[in-house]
Amino acid sequence: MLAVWRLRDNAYGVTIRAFVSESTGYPWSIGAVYAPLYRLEKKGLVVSNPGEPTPLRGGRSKIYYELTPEGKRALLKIKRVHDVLWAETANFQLDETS
Amino acid sequence: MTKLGRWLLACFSSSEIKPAVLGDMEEIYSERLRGHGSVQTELWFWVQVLKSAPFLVGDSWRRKRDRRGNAPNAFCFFIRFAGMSVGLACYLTIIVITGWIQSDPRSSAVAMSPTAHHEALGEGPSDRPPVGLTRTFPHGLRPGIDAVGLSVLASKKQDGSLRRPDERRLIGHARRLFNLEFMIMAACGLLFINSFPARSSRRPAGARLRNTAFRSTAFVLLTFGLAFIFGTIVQPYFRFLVERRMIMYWLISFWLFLGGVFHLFPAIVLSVSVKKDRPIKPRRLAVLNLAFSFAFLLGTVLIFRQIDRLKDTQAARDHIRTSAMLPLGVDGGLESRLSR
Repeated sequence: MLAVWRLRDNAYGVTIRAFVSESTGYPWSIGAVYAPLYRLEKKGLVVSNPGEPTPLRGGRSKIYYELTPEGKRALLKIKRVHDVLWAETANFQLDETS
Repeated sequence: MTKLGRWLLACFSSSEIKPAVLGDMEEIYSERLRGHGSVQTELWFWVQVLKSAPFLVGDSWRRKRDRRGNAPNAFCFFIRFAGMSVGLACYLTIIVITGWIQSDPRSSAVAMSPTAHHEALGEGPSDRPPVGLTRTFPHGLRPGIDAVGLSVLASKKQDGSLRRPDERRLIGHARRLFNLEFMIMAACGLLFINSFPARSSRRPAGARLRNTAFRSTAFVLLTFGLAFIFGTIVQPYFRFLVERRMIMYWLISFWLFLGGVFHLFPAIVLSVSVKKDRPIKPRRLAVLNLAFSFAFLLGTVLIFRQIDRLKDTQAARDHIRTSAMLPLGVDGGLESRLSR
């Protein structure tokens, strides 16, 4: 979801895969990208729009993904939860090392 | 990108994302080709195909299930589970019994002379011909086996009987055939049961019933066709089972029950779930389907029992020899015709 939001108008299979691989440090396969995107789409967090076919892709079209308002809300919620969890973890680490 | 790799990706992907997946792969492939060598890129491509396959298959399955829109209820799940359990039980029983037959010294006495048979059973030599054993056929021809060219597996002695290792090999071959047949049948059953709710649930009841009736009848015909061919092939080598009638009954009962479960399931479901205000009266079709399947199964059981009864008496044996009532391959049919 973060990748879709960060890539904005250019969020499709190749760019999402590149973003996620770069962020996680693990080379994701193309197939591994579409499975979670479908689940997010089913939950109504992202929407897919077919793009125009290009010669670079052998005349095949892209599928662009976009965050829905529910998706943005969910992303914000996740961020808040992460922030809280990390803050607590940081304190715990400080306590442990001191 | 090789054609095979592209084809594999297309097979794994669902129709909605197929162009996107292939396009993405093409895009990355052409980019990598500029930076890396062709061999390296091709290797990368195949790794990607292999790594993507499980995700794409899972995704495709999920999309198909969601498109279907009807999650299996408890009754359907129970029927499927019961059907598959019976199938597995049948398969294991066949494996165990055929394995036991293969290792049983009595089985190797099937095609021996009467004296050799009694010696193999630990009895003294006797002039009495053993019950249900393969006799020497005129022209050295054995029903079923020679008809499909399996005789190459068997080397003949001068009296036309088989040697023990060859016979064991033949039984092993029959066992493999049985396995193959079961797998085909199980695949058909799975396809049939799964495709019924997937393809027919949103159709009108009439089309749904016609489809179901056709599929179920075709399935039963296929099952019994395969069973008949297989039975014809291995029948001469399983005659000693006449002495162990219970085993034969178990095998046949399992087989028929399995066929019955696969065949009756849609008819039962339809007969309880169809609506009344349809142009074609589906309930009648369902009842007809049930009646046909019942008659089919009953007829088969009766034939088997008749054959068994005919085997029991000497008068019946004479009757088999003198008449050509029984179809080709059924005990005594071809044999009696050849001996005339």
